[in-house]
This record gives sequence, structure tokens and C-alpha cells, in this order.
Amino acid sequence: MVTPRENGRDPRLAVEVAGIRFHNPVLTASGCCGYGLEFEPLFDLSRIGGICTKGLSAKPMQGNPPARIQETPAGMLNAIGLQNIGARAFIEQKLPRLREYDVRVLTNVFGYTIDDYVEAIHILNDGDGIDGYELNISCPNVKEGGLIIGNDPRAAAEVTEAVKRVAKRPVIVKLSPNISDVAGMARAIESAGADALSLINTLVGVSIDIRTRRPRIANVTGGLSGPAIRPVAVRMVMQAAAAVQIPLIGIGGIATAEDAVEFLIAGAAAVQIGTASFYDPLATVKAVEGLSAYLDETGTESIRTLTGSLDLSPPPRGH
Amino acid sequence: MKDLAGTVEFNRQLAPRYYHIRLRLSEQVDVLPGQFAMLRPAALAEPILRRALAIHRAEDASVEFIYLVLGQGLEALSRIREGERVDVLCPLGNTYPTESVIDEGRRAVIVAGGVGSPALFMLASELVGRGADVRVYFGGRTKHDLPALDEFEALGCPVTVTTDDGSAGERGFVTVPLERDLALAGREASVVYACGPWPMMARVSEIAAGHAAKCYVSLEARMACGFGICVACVVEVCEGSFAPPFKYQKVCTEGPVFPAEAIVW
Ligand SMILES: Cc1cc2nc3c(=O)[nH]c(=O)nc-3n(C[C@H](O)[C@H](O)[C@H](O)COP(=O)(O)OP(=O)(O)OC[C@H]3O[C@@H](n4cnc5c(N)ncnc54)[C@H](O)[C@@H]3O)c2cc1C
Ligand SMILES: Cc1cc2nc3c(=O)[nH]c(=O)nc-3n(C[C@H](O)[C@H](O)[C@H](O)COP(=O)(O)O)c2cc1C
Ligand code: FES
Repeated sequence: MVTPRENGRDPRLAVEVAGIRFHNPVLTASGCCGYGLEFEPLFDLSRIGGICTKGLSAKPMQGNPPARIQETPAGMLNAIGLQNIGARAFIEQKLPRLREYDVRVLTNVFGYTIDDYVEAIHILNDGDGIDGYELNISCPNVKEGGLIIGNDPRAAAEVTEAVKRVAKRPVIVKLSPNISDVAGMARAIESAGADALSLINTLVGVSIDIRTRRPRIANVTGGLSGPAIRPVAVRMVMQAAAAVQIPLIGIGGIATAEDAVEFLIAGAAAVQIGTASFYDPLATVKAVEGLSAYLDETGTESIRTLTGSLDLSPPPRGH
Repeated sequence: MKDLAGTVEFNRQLAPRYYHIRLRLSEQVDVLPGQFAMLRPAALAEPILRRALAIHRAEDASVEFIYLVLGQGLEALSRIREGERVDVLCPLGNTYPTESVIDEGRRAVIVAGGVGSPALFMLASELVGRGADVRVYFGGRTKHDLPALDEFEALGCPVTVTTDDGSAGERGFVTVPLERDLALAGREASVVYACGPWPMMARVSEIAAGHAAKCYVSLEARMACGFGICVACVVEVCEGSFAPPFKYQKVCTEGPVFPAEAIVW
């Protein structure tokens, strides 16, 4: 079977999430694509569905001292510390060039208080060509004694509500995996008005140098990402899909089209690729091509029919 | 910057844990002295991240690297054989400013520490080729830690060797003959280019400043991507050396070559 194409694109891959139309379901993950433009020398940005920027705050941030990363089995720990140029500089220096591509732009936003989020969103509302906001809620809440916002359904809902009140664009809330009740968290955020959920952010980890007995990254703890976390992420997508009506974006250890399909079947409508772009800079474009090939091979009509198609009936005997 | 397939032409051991690899790339690339590549044996499952290596030589569609195996990634690279594939993202990073040597006629003083030498070879070779006054100071822990020494010697410029244990050249740190050299040459006469262990570069930077010599260092940092998307590879820089507000600059895109006075040593 020959893949039908329109403008070199496979219309079977188009998806809509939170009212945003993506011409395919493959996005870059926040913190793993800079501001998107870093990929310009490698591929045409219009070939992927979307770009989710490095986390932005109202004011620029310096980030953590090095060492900021450590490779671990099938993954890596990072504590970059959200170094970013600030929402205003993003709009002025990066967005005009990003807009030249036919690719959806999500700006990832973080904060340490509700006011931080609201302030950043106010600035980004002026950014022509931003399609939506993704909220990173895996930050400590300075007003609540440093508890992680995304670990407390009430705090997560408050941030979501406050942002929804001011946001001129769809709001996607990004779940932290460091929680026990996925369904409860997902419902709390859905009730607060989120247009979609994305999951998962990194898992908190530590790696120790046994010769010096020191932590291998300066911040002591870091976020675990890469193929190592994929099964945890697929499980959480499956649980969230059972709990809410709003669409999901699956993230965590995706390196290939096959990995992406696993998330779609578990309940995601789109995916983001993070760490894999570090070691395979073309991972996103290869995944887009791989998805078309998967539809061809399996005789599947469109990518949308995969979402939530997980078969939980008892397997045939002997398997 | 391109993501290319490299085919191994040779991958030979130079000394315990040191290797020299030559790859034929799927496309020709233009490489500037000091630039580097991110490498990984194709289809390797683990470790997942590529390793950064300075481009030691580049010619048409071939590139060479010299590397010291520290852990799993370069260990895997050391095991691959002629005809096998390596993923190569290159060329990456900036280059060494050479105007003061080429246009103003200053002496080029190249200081290599151990496996820092590959990052300086193309520079030395280019400057010698352009008729500049070049000298090389090459230090290693032992005589086994002087990778590509023969290639530097073959350039025809003076090469002074030091080892910590005296097994080759002068015994002691490379900074000792460097200091003698700069003192003799006089103030502002030289431009120093250095790559090696951090304490060596810190000391070189201090000595160069003491003799009012410009100094450029090629830095290493832990890298995940090599092209600016992860923001892992940062080095702390002095206020005023880069546009505010950032005190951390990415070694992979703003470097790896920095003016020594910009770095917080
Ligand atoms: C721009 C640039 C150019 C480079 N050029 C060269 C080159 O030409 N030749 C060369 O041999 N190396 C070069 N390096 C260093 C090289 O990238 C690392 O040594 C390499 O990543 C180590 O990989 P590995 O798999 O051997 O060890 P890993 O498994 O990554 O590490 C093993 C152990 O060594 C430690 N380690 C890792 N990197 C370093 C380091 N840089 N210094 C000290 N300890 C370290 C780790 O913390 C760990 O404990 C360069 C680095 C950069 C950033
Ligand atoms: C170096 C690095 C930086 C990251 N920065 C951010 C960030 O700024 N905001 C955010 O929401 N997530 C950030 N993440 C998390 C990723 O977007 C993603 O959720 C996570 O890495 C899991 O996906 P992966 O396994 O494909 O990388 C970062 C991850 C890495 C590895
Ligand atoms: S290594 Fe990723 S930004 Fe420099």
C-alpha cells in the first residue's frame, strides 16, 4: 500500500489535542529541544507536529551549577535548574523565526508561586504564533514550605484555575510521576479546567560516585528520563486515560515510532520525544516516518483510531 | 552540523587505553580547528548518550579522533572494527581566534595536556602551514600520556615535552617551560592556546595573564547532546564577558574555545 501524502505529509497522522490541530502527533519535549531553532540545521521543523519549548518563566533564570547531568542505565539524571532566557526574550528573539515554520508551538511554563505562572502567561499572551501553554507543575511551591505543586491535587488545581482565568490559549498541564494517585490528580486538574494533560515529567533520582562518596550531580537529586522510565510512563497514561475525558500527551523514554504507538494505545492522542533527541537528533522526524510505516503495515486507517485501543480482555490461552 | 554515518577505516590502540580512529563519513564536512563531534557506535543499546571527541584531523570525507577510554561509552567505541558504523554528529562548536597570530604576527604558544592534544592538532598544523611562529608544549603524566606526540613533532615546529614522572622529556608540569618561554618572549608577544585538565588550564591562564599574553582555552564538560538543546554542558563565566544575565554558558555552542579571562577558574 502506498502512503497517501498531501504536501509531503501523511494526512492519516493529523490529530487534534486541546483544540490545537497538529499535522502529526510527534512533538519535542520541554527541555530537550532548546527553543526549537537549535534543530534548524538538522531538519525542517515543519516535518514534526509541534515544539514544546524549554520551561519559561517571567524573568530569566540562571539555572544550577554544573555538573548538571549523569548518565544512568538506559537513561540519565538531570538538574539543569530551568535555565531560560525569560518569556519576553523568547517572544522577541525566538518566536518570529519559529513562526516561519508550519509547526505548532507550545510554550512550557513553570513557577514557584501561582503569581509566577500568571505573570509568565500574561507575557506569553502577547506572543503571536504561540498555540498553547504547557504547565510544568513539578516545582516546589515556595508559599507552601517547598512542597511540590504537582504532588498535591489541591495545589495543582489552584495553579490550573489561576492560569485558565488569564490564558488566551489552551492550557495543557504536565503531570509529575512522583505521585501515587494518578486518577485523583488527573481528575482534580481536569475539574480545574485544563484542556489536556501531558505526562510524565522526570522521576526524582540520585546517583553516587562510590570513590568520592559524593552525589554525581551538583544539585544532589536529579530528574530521571530516557528509555528506563518508559514503562512507568505508559502505566500512568493508561491510568489517566481511564480517569478523565480530556486528551493526553504521552511522554517518557520514547525513541521510536514503536515506542510512540505504545503510548497511543495506552490512551495518548499525541506524544513528546525528549532524551532520545540528545543521542539521536533526528528521532522526532524518524518517528513521524515510522508512524506512517506502522499504519501501512498494520492496515490502520488513521493514527486517531489507535488512541485508547488497549485490549484488556484475557489473552488467548498459551500466550 | 550534520548527523552522518561514519564507516571505520581503522581503530588502533596507541598506548594502554588510548586509541586512534579514522572514519569515512557519508558526506564531506568543513571542519575548523577546535571543533568536535558527538559519536556513538551505530545501533549500540547502552550507554545511550554519544561521547564528545575533538576532531584531530579532517580531510575530504574522513575524520580522525584520538581518545582515552574512561568508561563504557568510549570502551564500546574502542571495540568496533574496520567496516563497522559509527553515528557522527559534526562539526560542532566554535574555533580558535587566530587574528593576532596571522595578522599581527604574534607567536603561537600551544599547550597540550594529555588527551587535550587532539583539540589542538588542527590548529598547530594550520598555523605552521601559514608560516606562523608556532611552538608546542606537551605535558603528560607518563610517556604513555602523550597521544599524537609524533604527529606534532612531524609538523616541524619546536615541541617541548614534560612528564610528571620524567619518563619522557623534562620532569614536572608543562607550565614550567611555558613560564620560561613567555618570560623570554616578553610581554604581549604571544598568544597561548591550551587544552588539557582543568587545573592545568587554570594555571596556564594565570601564567599567560602574568605575561600579558592572550590566552584561549578549549574546555570539556559533561554533554548529553552537543548542539545546545539540553543545557547540561555549562561553565561559569565572569560577569561582563557575555551579554547578561547568564553566568553559565554552554560549552557545546558558545565554546568549546573560550578566552581564558572569561572563565571563573
Ligand atoms: C568538546 C570536547 C572534546 C573532547 N575531546 C576529547 C578527545 O579528543 N579525546 C578524548 O579522549 N576525550 C575527549 N573529551 C572527553 C570525552 O568526551 C570524555 O572523556 C568521554 O565522554 C568519557 O566517556 P567514557 O565512555 O570513556 O566514560 P564515561 O562512562 O562517560 O565516564 C567514566 C568516568 O569518567 C568520568 N569522566 C567522564 N568524562 C570525564 C572527563 N572529561 N574528565 C575526567 N573524568 C571524566 C566520569 O565521571 C566517570 O566517572 C572531550 C570532551 C569534550 C566536551
Ligand atoms: C535535560 C532535561 C531538561 C528538561 N527540562 C524540562 C523543563 O524545562 N520543563 C519540563 O516540563 N520538563 C522538562 N524536562 C522533562 C521532559 O520534558 C520529559 O518530560 C522527560 O524527560 C521524560 O521524557 P523523555 O524520557 O523522552 O526525556 C526535561 C528533561 C531533560 C532530560
Ligand atoms: S551538550 Fe547539550 S547543550 Fe551543550
